[in-house]
Amino acid sequence: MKPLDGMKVLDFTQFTSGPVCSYILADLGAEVVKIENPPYGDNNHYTAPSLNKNTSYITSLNHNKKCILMNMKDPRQVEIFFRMVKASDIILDNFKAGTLEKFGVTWEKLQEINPAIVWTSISGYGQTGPWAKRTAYDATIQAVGGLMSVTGEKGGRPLKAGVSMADINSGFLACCATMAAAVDAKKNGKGRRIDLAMTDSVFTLIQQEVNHYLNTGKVIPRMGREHAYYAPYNSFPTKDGKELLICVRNDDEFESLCRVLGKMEAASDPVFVSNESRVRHREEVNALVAAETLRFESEELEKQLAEADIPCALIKTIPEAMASEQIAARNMVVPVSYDDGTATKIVGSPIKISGMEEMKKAKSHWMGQDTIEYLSRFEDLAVIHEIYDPILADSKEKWAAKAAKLK
Amino acid sequence: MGPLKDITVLDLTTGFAGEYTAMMMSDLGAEVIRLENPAEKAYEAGPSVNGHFVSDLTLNRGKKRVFMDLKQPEMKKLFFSMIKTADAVIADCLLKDLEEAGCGFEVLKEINSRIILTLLTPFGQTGPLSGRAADETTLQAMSGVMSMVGDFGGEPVRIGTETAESAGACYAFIGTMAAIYSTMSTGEGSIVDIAELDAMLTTGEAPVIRYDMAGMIPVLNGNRHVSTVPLGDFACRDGGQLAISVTTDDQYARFADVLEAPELLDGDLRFGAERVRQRERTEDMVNKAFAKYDSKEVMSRLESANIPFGVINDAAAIAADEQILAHNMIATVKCSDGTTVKAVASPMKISGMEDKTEFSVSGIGSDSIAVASNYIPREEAEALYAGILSSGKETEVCKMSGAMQKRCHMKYRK
Repeated sequence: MKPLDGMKVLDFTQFTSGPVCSYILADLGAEVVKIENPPYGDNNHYTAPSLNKNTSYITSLNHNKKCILMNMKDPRQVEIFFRMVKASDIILDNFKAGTLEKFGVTWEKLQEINPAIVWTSISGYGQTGPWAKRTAYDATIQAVGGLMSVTGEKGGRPLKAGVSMADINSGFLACCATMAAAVDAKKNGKGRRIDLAMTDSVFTLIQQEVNHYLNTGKVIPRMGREHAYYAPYNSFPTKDGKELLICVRNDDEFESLCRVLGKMEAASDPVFVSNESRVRHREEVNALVAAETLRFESEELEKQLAEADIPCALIKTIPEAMASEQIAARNMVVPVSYDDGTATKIVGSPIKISGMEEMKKAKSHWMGQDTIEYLSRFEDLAVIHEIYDPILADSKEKWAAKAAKLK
Repeated sequence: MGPLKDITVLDLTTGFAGEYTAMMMSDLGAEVIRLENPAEKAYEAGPSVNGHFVSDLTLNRGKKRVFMDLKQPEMKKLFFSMIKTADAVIADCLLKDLEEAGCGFEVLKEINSRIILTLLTPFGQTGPLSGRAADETTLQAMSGVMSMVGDFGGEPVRIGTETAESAGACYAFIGTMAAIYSTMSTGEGSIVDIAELDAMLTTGEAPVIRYDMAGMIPVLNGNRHVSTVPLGDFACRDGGQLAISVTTDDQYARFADVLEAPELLDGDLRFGAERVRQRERTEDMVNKAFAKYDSKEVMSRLESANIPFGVINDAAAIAADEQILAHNMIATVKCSDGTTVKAVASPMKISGMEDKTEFSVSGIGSDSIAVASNYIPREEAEALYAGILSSGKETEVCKMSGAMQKRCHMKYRK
C-alpha cells in the first residue's frame, strides 16, 4: 500500500522543475500520466547521455509515470482531455503562462467539470507580474534569484549550485503546495489554483541570506567552505592528505573539538571561548585547528569527531555517495528499467512511511507508450486508434531521427 | 482561507529544517502549536534585533508558542491531551528519544489512532549513521553534490545556503501531507521518517543516473553544464555578466540570428549534441558574439527573440526586484514588544487565500496559558505554568548558556 494510492495526476510538465514535482507524487503511489505534445515531446528526449534512445534525463525525471501523446490544438483531443479531468485530482504544468488557456483549458472550465480539481503551474516568473510569460531555465533563475551570488570562493566570482537547484527546489515547493491543496480538496471537495514562480522559490531557498540582508542592510559575502556565522567551520588538512570538513556551531561543540584534538587550553582561552569571538578571530582559530588535525589520519579523526557529536565529513564524489553504506541502508539508489530491457539506476524516494510499501525499484516508460490503453478509458477504442495510430507512428519516426543525433 | 485551515500540527522541532517545515504549514493556514523547551533548543546564530534572533522570529511567525518539558509529568499530560485532537506531530529527534520520554509512537497512537508522527533528522531513523551529528555543509559533502560545486581548476565549495535542510523540510512537509491524505481513508496514523541526507541526494538525481548509465563523473566546470551548450555566464562588451541557458535547438537558431553571429550555425552546431561535442569552439564564438555589444544591448536582443537570460543578482538586488515585490514576497513580522523584522513571505500562491505579508510572532512560551486553557481548565493551566512564567522576568527553570538566557524572555500577559 502507498499513501497516494488512487490519486490521479495529469502531468503536462517537461524539462526538470515540473517532473520533479510529479515523480514525487508517483513514488508515493499516485497514477501520474505524462502528457507530451507530438511529434517530439519533452525536449529532454534529445539530451545525452542515453541508452537505446532512453536519455538519462527522461529516465530519472519521468520514472513511475504513464506516458501518452496528446495534441491540444485538436478540439477532439481537448474533449477527451476534459473527460480525463473529470476523473482526476491534480493537473500540473510548467508552460509559459497562458499556454493551456489558448486551447480552451481555463480554470473556470476545469472547475465546472470537476470542482475538486487542483491545478498547479510552475513558471519562471509566475502567472502574474511584469515578467510573467517570459521563458526561464534553471541557470538563468539561479542567477536572477540570487542563488549564484551566495556560492563561490572567498573573494571569488558567483558560481552555480552544481545541480539544477532552482528547478529542483521549485519542484519541491510545487509539490508541497499541491499536496496541501490535495488534502484540502479531499476533505472539503473544493480544488485550488496554484501559482509557483521559480524566482520566488529561489528567493525562499536563500531565505536565511535574504532575511540577513533585509534586517541588517548587509549582504553576506561568499565564503568558500566557511560560514559567516560560525568558526571554526571549514575543511582542515589531515595526515593522509584528505581534507576533513569540521563544522563547529557553538561553544559546547568547540569544547568537544578541543578535547578530541588534545587542546583543552584553547577551550578556555578568552579569544576562543565564545562563537562571536571565534568568528572575529577566524584566521587564528582556523590555524589552531589545522595545526592539530594534521596529526590525525582523516578516517580516524572523522570517527573520533563523530563520536563526540561534532559535524564532520569528507567530501564524497557522486559515485562514493552512491556506494555508501548509509545510502544503501536507506534504499536511496534503486534500479529502474524499461520494457525494452534498458536498465540503469536512479535516486530513490526519501519519504519513508511506516506501514507503507517502500520504493525499491522503479519503471520508466517511453514516449507515448500508454496512449492507447490509457485513453481508451475515456473514448471508444476504435476512435482512439483512429486518432492516435497515425500520431504514434509519426512521433516514433521523428523521435528516432532526432535522437539519432545523440550518438 | 489557506488549504490547511482544518489541520492542527504540534511542532517539537529545534533546528532550521524542522522549524521551516512547520512554518510552511502555518503559512498555508494550519494551526501550529510550537512546544518548546529553551534548554533543548539548537544553537541560535545570525543577526538579532532588540534581543530577538531574526531567524527565530522569521521561522516561527504565526505559530502559537507553548513552554513544554516532556520530563515533567503534568506537562506530558497536557501534551497527551493536545495529541488527542492534533493531526500531526513534527520533531527532529530519534524515535528512541521520544520513547525514553514516554511519548513513543505506540503511546501516541493509543491516544489518537490517526496521529502522524513526522521525524526529520540528518540521517533518518535507520542506517549506520542514524543519530550522528550533521550540519548543512557536511550533508552537502556526504551527498556527493558538493563535489560538483566549484570553479575551473578550483576545489569544491559549499552551496552558500540551506539546500539539504530545505530539501529535508520540503519532503517532511510532503510526507506529512501524504500521510494525512492516506489517513483520511484508512483512519490509521503512521511515522514519516525523513533524512536530510536522502533529501540532498535527490538533488543529485541527474549526476547519479549519468554515472550509472554512462560512467560520467562530474568535474568542476564553473557555471557550465555537462549537457547544454551554451549555458552559463558570459561577459558583454561593458563587462556586464549575463547568465544564459540556450536549451533547445530552436532557441539556438534564434540566438545566433539575434546576435548576428551566423558562424554559430556552422555545420551541425545547430544540434545540441554537436554543440556539446564542440563545446570549447562554441563557447569561444559565444564569447566573441557577446563582446560585440554592451549588456543592455544584449539583453534587449535576447528578449526580442525570447531567449532566457538572467542578471546575476545578490540578496540586495533580488530583494528590490520588481517581480519579487509584485509577488508580495517580502513580509513584516511583528513581536508583542513592537519589534518588527522583515522576512521572505510564502512562495506558494494559492487561490482562495490572500498573499500574507503581515505576520505576528510570539515570544517563546508566551501562549502557554492561553493554549493550555483549550485543553485543561484555566486554573490548572495557570497553576501548571506558575513557576515558569512570571511578569517581566526571565525564566529560571531551564539550564542555559548565557547566550540562550538572553534569548529567553518569557513574558506572561494576563
